[in-house]
Amino acid sequence: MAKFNVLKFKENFIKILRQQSILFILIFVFIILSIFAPSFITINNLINIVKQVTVIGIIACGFTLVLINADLDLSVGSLFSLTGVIAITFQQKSIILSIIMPILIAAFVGFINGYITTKFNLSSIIVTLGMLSIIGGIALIYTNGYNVLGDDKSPYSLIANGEIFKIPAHILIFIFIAVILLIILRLTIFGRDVYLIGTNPEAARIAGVNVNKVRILSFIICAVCVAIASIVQSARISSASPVAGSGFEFDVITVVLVGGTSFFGGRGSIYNTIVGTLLIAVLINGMILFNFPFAFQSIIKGFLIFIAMLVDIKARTRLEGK
Amino acid sequence: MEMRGRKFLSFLINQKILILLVVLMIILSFVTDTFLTVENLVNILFQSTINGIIAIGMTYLIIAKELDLSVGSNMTLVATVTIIFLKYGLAIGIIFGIVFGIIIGAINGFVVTRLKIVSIATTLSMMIILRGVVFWLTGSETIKGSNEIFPIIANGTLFSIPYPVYLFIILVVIFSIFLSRTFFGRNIYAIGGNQLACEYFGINVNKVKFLAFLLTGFLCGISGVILASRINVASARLGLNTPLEIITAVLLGGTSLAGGEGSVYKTLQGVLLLGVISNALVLLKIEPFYHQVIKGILLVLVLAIDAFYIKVRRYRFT
Repeated sequence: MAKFNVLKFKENFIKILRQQSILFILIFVFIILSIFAPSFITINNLINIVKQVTVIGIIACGFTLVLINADLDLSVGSLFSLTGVIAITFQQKSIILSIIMPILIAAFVGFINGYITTKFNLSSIIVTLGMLSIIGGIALIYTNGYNVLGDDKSPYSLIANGEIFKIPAHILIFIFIAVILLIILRLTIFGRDVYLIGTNPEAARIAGVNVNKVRILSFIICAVCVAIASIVQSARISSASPVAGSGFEFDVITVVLVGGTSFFGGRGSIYNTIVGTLLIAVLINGMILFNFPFAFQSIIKGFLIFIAMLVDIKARTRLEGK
Repeated sequence: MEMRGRKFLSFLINQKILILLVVLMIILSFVTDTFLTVENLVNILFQSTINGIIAIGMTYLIIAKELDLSVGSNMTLVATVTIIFLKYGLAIGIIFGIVFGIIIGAINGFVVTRLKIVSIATTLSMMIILRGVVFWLTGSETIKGSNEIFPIIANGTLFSIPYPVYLFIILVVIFSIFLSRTFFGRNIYAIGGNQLACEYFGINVNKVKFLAFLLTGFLCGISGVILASRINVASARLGLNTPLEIITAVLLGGTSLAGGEGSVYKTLQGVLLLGVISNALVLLKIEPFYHQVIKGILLVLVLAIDAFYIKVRRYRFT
């Protein structure tokens, strides 16, 4: 029977603290808010927080894959707008089409993003910056700049508002997507390749991984997640705006980076992203409860990215030091 | 021999943009009857000025293999600060605006060089922060300027050409010479070409990069003051597309994302070409929503051409 080793315990404790730092911050913020804002800990408010995270959360899960690959997709916001208006315009004709069409179009956009980035060996940030403009423009052209209204009586809205065991369907979809992506990342060869490419693309290529294929597939998965998120959102409010997703890319990047996924690829997980999503949602909820001006949300998000990057770099130099 | 071939190639590419510009202008003067008027040409120059001034700084950064995505928000912040501080006097408004621009540039430079966060990430978060700050300052409304003399800075004309155009030309000449004739400029090229070699060579890489970010911040300041003076209002909606347009213009001119190559003169061509294209979209009565699509496609196209050129060059040298 090994003696209880204080030093080892301390080391382990610090290790867990480091690995789960975001979770501890989340718990800390949670406790602080419940003490200082009495309305925070009410059931309604907590349900509200979970409801708000589903859309961003679904996109963030797909985005995590792209970021672990050391790519970045800035076009998610515009794509969200485009797929939303497409879903709503098809809703009157056929519900199946209004689900399939956005997903197909998103997959195509994801493919284009990935293909241009990998084929020409370009910075994905700038490619998707161009794509952001293109798709945003197409969404505006498609709707002539107007909001699109759907039929809120149609069974389409059940996608988001239906309930199974009292749990709203959109939350179940979020959990479903998260679990599937978790399995893909953890248990499949594809997932292993994603991490490998993010850590060292050259080594991955030599090891026989089809780097371009994996990267393109990650872009497609991310885009499909965006489509699913926008279907959920449009079903929830049975309308869509051609600018609904503007600025979403920043929200998603914030969430994923704050969760602890590395900007330089190779490190991160769906679990991290979910914790990051919850942390941001709780923080924003707290800011609303304390009547902070709306503009501060954006400022705080920017600072959080800064801090997340700093921590990321510190962690990287520590790992490299070893 | 190799050097001469390389020079000839880049010379040819210079001419390509110029030829494209001239051809486009000739076509436009036949297709539309409003293009070839003094008024319109001055208008194009004027439109190009605001983006062009920032594009000078962006050229420095891209040659040094860095990027600044916060230029648009920085410009909007400067415009907002200037409009707000105009209450206390014309000079104070302008000075405060430009100082703010420089401070933002300095913060970007500090974070990139000292904290070693890659410039794209740094400036991306800076862009988000600044958008928030502008939103906070303006409160989602548009603020009007309170000074009667202030609009003259951008709208006043000399020989029927607005003042900012002269300023733009002066800045282009100064910073073109600065880039090609000084140690600082040479170091910029060297760092973009091979940063590690520069460090071994004893060049203070951090200082040079910091100064490049500072310069970009300063130019954002000037551009922001001109923007504020031209429309005399501040709004959070301004400058959203600026980073995209400026990167497009710089790459269009022939400065490469691979670093170590490019010039202010090339950027000037890119800015003018983009200005003529934007003008053409308006004159040909293409709906505004399409502009966004066309500009995005243009950026991706220019990127692909740049990547192809890099590949060709690498093939030639290996």
